[in-house]
Amino acid sequence: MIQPATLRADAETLAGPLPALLAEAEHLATTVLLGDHGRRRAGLGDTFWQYRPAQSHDTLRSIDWRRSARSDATFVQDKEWQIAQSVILWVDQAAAMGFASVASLPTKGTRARTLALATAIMLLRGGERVGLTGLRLPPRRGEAQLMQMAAILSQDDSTDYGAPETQGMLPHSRALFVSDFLGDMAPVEDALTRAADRGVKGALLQILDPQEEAFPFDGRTVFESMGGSLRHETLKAGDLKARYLDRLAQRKDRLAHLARMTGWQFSTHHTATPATAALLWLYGALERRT
Amino acid sequence: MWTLGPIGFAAPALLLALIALPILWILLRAVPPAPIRRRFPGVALLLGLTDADSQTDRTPWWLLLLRMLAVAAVIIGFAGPVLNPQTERTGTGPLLIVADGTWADARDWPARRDRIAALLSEASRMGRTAAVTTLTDIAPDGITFQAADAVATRLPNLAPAAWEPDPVALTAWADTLTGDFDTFWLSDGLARDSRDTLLTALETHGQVSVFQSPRQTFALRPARYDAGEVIVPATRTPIGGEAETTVAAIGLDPAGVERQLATAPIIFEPGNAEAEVALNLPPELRNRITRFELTGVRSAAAVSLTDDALKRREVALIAGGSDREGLELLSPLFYLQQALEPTADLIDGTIEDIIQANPDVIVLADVATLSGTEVESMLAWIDKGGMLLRFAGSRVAASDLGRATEDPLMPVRLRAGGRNVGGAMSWGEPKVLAPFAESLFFFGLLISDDVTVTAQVMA
Repeated sequence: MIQPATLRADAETLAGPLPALLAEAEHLATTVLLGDHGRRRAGLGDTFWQYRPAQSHDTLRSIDWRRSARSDATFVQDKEWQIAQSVILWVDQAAAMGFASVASLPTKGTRARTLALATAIMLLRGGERVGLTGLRLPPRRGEAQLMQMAAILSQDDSTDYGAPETQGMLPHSRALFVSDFLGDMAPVEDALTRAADRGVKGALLQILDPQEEAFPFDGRTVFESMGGSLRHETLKAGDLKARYLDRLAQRKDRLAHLARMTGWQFSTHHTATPATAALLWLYGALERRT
Repeated sequence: MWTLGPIGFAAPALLLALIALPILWILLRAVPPAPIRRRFPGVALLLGLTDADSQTDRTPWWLLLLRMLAVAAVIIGFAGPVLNPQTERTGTGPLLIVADGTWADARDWPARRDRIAALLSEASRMGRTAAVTTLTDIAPDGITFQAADAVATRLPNLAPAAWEPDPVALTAWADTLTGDFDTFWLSDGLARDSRDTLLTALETHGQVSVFQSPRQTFALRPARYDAGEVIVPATRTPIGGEAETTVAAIGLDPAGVERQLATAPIIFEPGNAEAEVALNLPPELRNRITRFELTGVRSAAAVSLTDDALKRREVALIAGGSDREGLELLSPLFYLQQALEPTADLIDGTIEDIIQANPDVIVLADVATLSGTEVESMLAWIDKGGMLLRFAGSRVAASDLGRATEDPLMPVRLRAGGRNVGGAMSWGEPKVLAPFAESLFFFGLLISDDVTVTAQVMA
């Protein structure tokens, strides 16, 4: 069980050195929740952006008479486009994420939660709204949201492999799925297609343990899933290595293909490598304009 | 300790565990190796994968054999195998250690001493008192048993002697022994009459163990001269298969340094106790030999000193008037040559040449006059130890050699004149030689009747 305070402290430390992430707000009209940071373009907002000649669709109320009086044409005052993007996170909390091959490595779950919370902190600093999928924590702003998120993320799930929830995904928002994606692929596929249907784009981050990549086993072995629901017995584990690695590569390939089809980003992170690299990738992936 | 061939076992009962091996075989064959259980999230990807070849549950036979051998090795190892085990001597009370200590022991003496030291340390461990003696160096007042440690400190003093034990003294010594004690006897391997009596005497006091080395003992016998060769005989015991040892002839070289003059191998035929080697050496070398040795053996029997029998003296024969032709049959040297040829090397020549050759003896047969330089060189040679032998003859009798003055090359002055016996102008018959008196060196020599004395020079 991870203590929420520790988790948050870890995430704060990780997020500290990075600049604030400003998520791109692509679709102004559909996400009506306004943020307080300018988009450097004309749009809905409170602060002045520029004057422009009035068009035929402009109402009389919008004409800036003081500016128009200085010339013959009529001008309209444009405001700077100020929006806040909603980013929803899904972090796999299933038992499979509790795996760490050696004691010196963090579990996959710890790494996933740290990364997710660090991303959340960065986004909140940038003025975005951050929430979790499902109906537990809708996107909101503020420190309190962070505390709540840390508390929810600290819970463990007893199921073997997690499946992403698609409820509560706001249309045209951004999403971040963090999991090992070793379980059934159908829910993931379903979630991604539904997200794509609603115009949600985002990033898939696969967290793997080095042992899951290397498969350094040999001899007669009974493999059990973390929850114990799945088991596979083999007499020669070494023989399975090539086929296992083949399947893993296929899984990654399928995820990458899926991401490409739905306009998402996909990457694999190993718990043996520093978390900062993954956070940088997340930063880039969520900032990306499409 | 139970022995199997050269291997003894300290705990032979453990070998019974070998019976369990077949049971172990069946057990090991039936049970496959236990699987390892691993928690591994990637198991989802493994589902449906089957093993490439359907492997038998049974352990492969070679692995089984290897394990059985390992278990067998462990069992045998715990049974405490010992190669050529030393049987532990048990016993209490005093221990007498006897070594022959003769010349035959000399070569292996360090080994004997180590053996004695081992016996003493064993006795010390067991708290026994001990005494050590050699039969060639026995204390006349019997033996005293002391703590084994104390005896061991005196062990370096123990040395073999060059002679055999004296049977009489040995019997007397055996009578002085009292009390009960065990005896360990390191024999030198030579049979002698005193052995049995001493063994009987020692057995009356307690248990007697006899240790005898199977190594061969070699001994040199006196060398002899035969038909131009030096024969060096050797003997050995015990008589075994073929054996070879090396004999070295040692003497002074011309510079006066002792060195090996010749070496030769002596080869004993299988089953032969005796062997000899013939050395064909030039006279110069042969005369220098002072002893023969078996190389690498320090023992009295490995050395054989030579005597004059091996030497061929160099004798120079000089006769007066040898320049006269036609008188070979009347040569005054004829009988000398006949007499000396078998035992000496004869040298002919002028006096100057002969003195250069430095002979042992110069014989002057009927030589009356010598030149001044000849006399001088001859005197110098005599001063260096030369032996001059002069025979008188008609010339010496006719000369005035040593009559008026004492000649330096004559032992005495001669009387003028002389004596004729049995001649035309004298009475009596020519004299014959009287038989040699019993005290004389030549006693027993047959005197031929032909030998008569008709003239004498008188001192």
